[in-house]
Amino acid sequence: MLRWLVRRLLLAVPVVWGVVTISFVLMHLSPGDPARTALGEKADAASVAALRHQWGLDKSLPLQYLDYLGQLVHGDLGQSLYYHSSITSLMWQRLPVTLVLIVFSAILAVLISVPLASRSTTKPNGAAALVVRLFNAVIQGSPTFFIGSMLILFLGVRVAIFPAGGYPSSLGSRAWALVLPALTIALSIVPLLVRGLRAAMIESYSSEYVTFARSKGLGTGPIRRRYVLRNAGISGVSILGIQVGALASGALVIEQVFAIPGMGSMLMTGILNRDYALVQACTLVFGLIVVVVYLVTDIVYARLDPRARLS
Amino acid sequence: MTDRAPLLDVADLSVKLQVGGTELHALEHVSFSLGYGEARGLVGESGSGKSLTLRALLGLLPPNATVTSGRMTFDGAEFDLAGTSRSKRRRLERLRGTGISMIFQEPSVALNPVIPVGEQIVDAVMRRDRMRRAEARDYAIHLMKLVGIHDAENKVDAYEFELSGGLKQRVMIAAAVASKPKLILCDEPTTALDVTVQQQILDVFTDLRDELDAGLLYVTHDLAVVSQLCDSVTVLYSGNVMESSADLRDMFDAPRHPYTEALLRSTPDVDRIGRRLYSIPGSAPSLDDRPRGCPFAPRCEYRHDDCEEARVPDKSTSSGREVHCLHQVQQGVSRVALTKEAR
Amino acid sequence: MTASETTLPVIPPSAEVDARGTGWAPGWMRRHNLQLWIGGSMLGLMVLAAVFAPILAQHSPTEPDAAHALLGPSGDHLFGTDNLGRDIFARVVYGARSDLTIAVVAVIAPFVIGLVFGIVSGYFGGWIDTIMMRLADIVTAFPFFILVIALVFVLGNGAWSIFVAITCVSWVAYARLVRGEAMVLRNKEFVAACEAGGISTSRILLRHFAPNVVTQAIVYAMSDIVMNVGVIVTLSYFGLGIVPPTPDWGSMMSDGQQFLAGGYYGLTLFPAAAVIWVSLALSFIGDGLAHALRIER
Repeated sequence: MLRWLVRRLLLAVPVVWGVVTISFVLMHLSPGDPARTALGEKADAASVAALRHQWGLDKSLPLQYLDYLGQLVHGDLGQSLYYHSSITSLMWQRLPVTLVLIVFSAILAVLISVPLASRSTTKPNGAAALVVRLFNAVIQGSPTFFIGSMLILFLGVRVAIFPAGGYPSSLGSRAWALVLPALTIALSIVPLLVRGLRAAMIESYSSEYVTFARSKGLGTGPIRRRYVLRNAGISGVSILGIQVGALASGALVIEQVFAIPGMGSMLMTGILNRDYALVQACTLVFGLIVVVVYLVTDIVYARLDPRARLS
Repeated sequence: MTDRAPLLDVADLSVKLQVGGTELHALEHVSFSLGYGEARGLVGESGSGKSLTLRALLGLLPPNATVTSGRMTFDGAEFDLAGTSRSKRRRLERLRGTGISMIFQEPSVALNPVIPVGEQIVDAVMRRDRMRRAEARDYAIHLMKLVGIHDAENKVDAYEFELSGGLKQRVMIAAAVASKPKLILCDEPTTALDVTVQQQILDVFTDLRDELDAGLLYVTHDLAVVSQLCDSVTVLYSGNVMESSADLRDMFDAPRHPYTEALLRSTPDVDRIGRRLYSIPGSAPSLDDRPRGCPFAPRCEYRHDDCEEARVPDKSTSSGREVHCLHQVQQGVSRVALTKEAR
Repeated sequence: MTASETTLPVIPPSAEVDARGTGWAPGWMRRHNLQLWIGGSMLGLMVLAAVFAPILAQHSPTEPDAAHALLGPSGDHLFGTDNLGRDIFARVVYGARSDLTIAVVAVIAPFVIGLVFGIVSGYFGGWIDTIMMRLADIVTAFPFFILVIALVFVLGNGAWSIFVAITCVSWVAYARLVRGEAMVLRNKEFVAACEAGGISTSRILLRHFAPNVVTQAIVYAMSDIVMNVGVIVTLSYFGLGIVPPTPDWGSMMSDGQQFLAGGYYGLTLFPAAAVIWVSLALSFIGDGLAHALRIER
C-alpha cells in the first residue's frame, strides 16, 4: 500500500509540472501585447512599458518561465492589476468559498443520484425509469446558468424560500444561501452520476454474488445495502472524482450567477477586466485542485476496494 | 427411504425462457423426489435445464425465465412454484438459507469481491440469529474448519480474490451449511476446478453428508462424480426427464433409456482403456426446434416412427424407476453395443 | 485502465461506457430503435429551421422595433418580441445557424486529432503511449470549461477562438476512448495474422483499426456536440462568445434574464428550449446509434 502510494504520488509530479507549464504557456498565446490589452488603447507608451517590465515580458521566454517557476516555489502567484493586491492573499480568501461550494454540490449530487439510479434499476421498464431518463436528458441539455436562473426565479423570487444570491456573513444564513447554487452545480453532474451508478448497480444486481446472497436467505434490504450499493458505491466514488472538473466549471458559472465571492467569480473578474496574472493564477489553482482530488479519489478508492490495493 | 414421506418432492415443473422475441420451453414436466439425507444426482449435458431446475426451486430464476407449472413439497410443506403472488414468493424466499441452500458453479464470481469471505459465510445466519460480530466470526472459523480450511483464522478476513479456486469453493460450501439446511442444492460445484482439487471438494461433500444428515441435490454432467457421491439419479435431456432411478447402481448397471445408455457409453472408464469412446451422433436440439415427441428421438439409435408423435409418459415397470421411452433398451440386446463396439 | 497507467481515478469499464453517452430506454423503445428516429427528426427539424431561417422568419432578427417591445406570442410574432422589439422566433432560428455551426464544426477537429492520437497510442504502446497519455492527463487536469474560457480570453472573442479553444481541450476525450478500443484490438488474433502476413502497419491501422474504433467515437461525438452547445451558449451568456448583434441563444438568455422577474419568460425560455431541444435530439441519436451499432452491453 505504501509503495503504491509513493508510486501514485510520483505519477502526479509530471502532471503538476504540466499544469504549471500550460498555465504559463497559456498567457503567451495572446496574439497581441497583454500589457497593451490590459491597460487599454488609450494608455501611454511609458505605462505600457512599465507593466511589461513588471510582468517580465521584456525578458526572454525561457527566463520568464524560470522566473514563473521561482515565484510559484515561493508561493507567489503575482500581483493582481484589478484588485491592486497580491493574488496569493486573494486566493486565501476565495479558495475556501469555492471548495465549500464544490463539496456541498458533491454531497447534494450523491443525495439526488443514488435514489434516482436505484429507482431506474429496480424497475428498468417502468414509468419511473423513463421519467428519470428524460429528466437526465433535459438536465444534461440545460446550460448550468439557465438552471441557476430558473431556480432563482422560482425558489428565490416567486416563492422566496432561498436568497436569490449573495454570501451573507453569518454562518447559518451563509449555508442557507449556498443551497441553491450548490443544487445547481450538483444538477449539472447528476445525469452522469445516475448513468454511472445505474450501470454499476445493474452489473451488481445481475451478478452471481447477489444470486448467491439471495440463496443464503439475505433479504432485499440487506442485499441492496451490503451488496449492491456497496459495490456500486465504490465505482460511484470514482465517477464523482472524475466529475470534480465539471463541479469546478459549474462553480465558475454559478458563482457569477449567484454573486458568490469565490475563485470562479475572481477568474471571471480577471477575464472581464483583462487581468492576465489573475486569470493565470486562477486557472493554475483550478488545475491543481483537480490533480489533488484525483489523487484523493484514488486513495479513497483503494481504501474501499480491496482489489485496488493489490496493484 | 420409502416408508417416510420424502424431504423434497418436485412435480410437473415447467419453465419458459424468453430469449429475444421467442419463448423457449426450457423445462417440461420435470418431476423427482429426494428422501431425508439422500443424495440425488441430476445429470445432463449443458443446456439440459439442470441448473435451471435448481434455481427454480429457490425462486432464483433469471428475469427472463418464468415457471409455468410446478409443485414442490419440502419437509412436509407445499409450495406452488408457479405462484407469482407476493405471499407465495415470500414463502419460497423464507426457505432460502433456512431449509435449502445452494452452492454455485463458479466460486470466483459468486463471492462478493469487496466483502471478506468470513462475513459472507455467516451474514445470513448472523442477521437471523442476531449474532454478535465476534460470535459470528468464531462461527465462520468453525465452519471453515468443518469444510477443511485448516488455517481458517487467517483466511476468515481474506477477500475472494486472495483465495485459490478450491478454497473459494470450500468457502461457498461453508456458507451453504452455515444455517444447517435440510437440503443443499449443488450446481456443478467442481466443474470450474482443477481435477486434483475436484476430488478434495468431493471428499468435503462426502464428509458433510455424514456430519449434517442433509439431503443433496447434485447437478453435474459428470457420471463419475454421481457414482461416487449419490444414492439416486435423474437424467435430464433437453428439459425433460429421460430416466430416473432411486437406486443409482440399478440404472448404471442396466440403463433402460437409450439416452442413459448412450451417456454411460460415452463416459471414460478405466475398465475399458484403449477402446474408442462412444459419441452420441448429432447434437442436442436447440430449445426452439425440439421435436413434439421424445426430444432424444432424432439422435436415438432405437428410434421408431411413433417416437416423435407425442410426449412419452413414464413407461417404467419397476418401482423407484421412471423411464420415458417407448422402446426401452432390453438387457443383452443393446444395439449401440452391437453396432459400435463390434467394430 | 489501471491506476498505474494514468493519473485519472480508476473507473470500472462498464460505468465508463455508460457514462460516456449511452443512456437507456425501455424495451419497446429499443425494439424499433425509436430513439434514433425521434432524435433524428428532432434534430432534422432544427437543422431545417436553421437552413430556411430567411424564409421562415417574417421579421429581421437584428432590427430593433421599439414600438413592439416585449410582446407576447401572437400570430405575427410566434414567440413574441424581446425588449428591443426584435422577433424572438427569428432570433431563435437565426441563432441556430451560428450556434449549431460552431458546435458541429468544433467536433470535427478534435474527432480527427483524437482518432489519430488514440489509434497510434493504442497500437504502438510504449513511450509514444506514455507521452500521449501524460499529455492527456495534463489537459484533463484542467476543468473543461475553465480551460476553454481561459483560452478564449487569451485568443480574443469570436467564433474562431471558440473553435480553437474547444479543439485544444476536447481531443483528449476522443484520444482516450479510441486508445482503449485500439488496445483491445491490438491483442486480437487478426492483427497478429495481418502482421505475420506482411501487411504494412499503415494499412492495418487504416483498414482494420480506424473502422472498428470509429463507431464508439461517433457515438461519443453526439454528446460532445451537446457539450459544445453548452460551452458556446455559456460563453455568449457571459459576453465572451459570439459577438452581438449576431443572434445567439446564449446572449438571448443573458439579455432576457432581467425580464424574468417581470413575467416576460419568453425572452429566456424560447432560446433555452432550443438548447434543450438540440441536446435531447442528440442524446436520443447517441443512444440510438449505440444501440444500432451494438456498442451497449
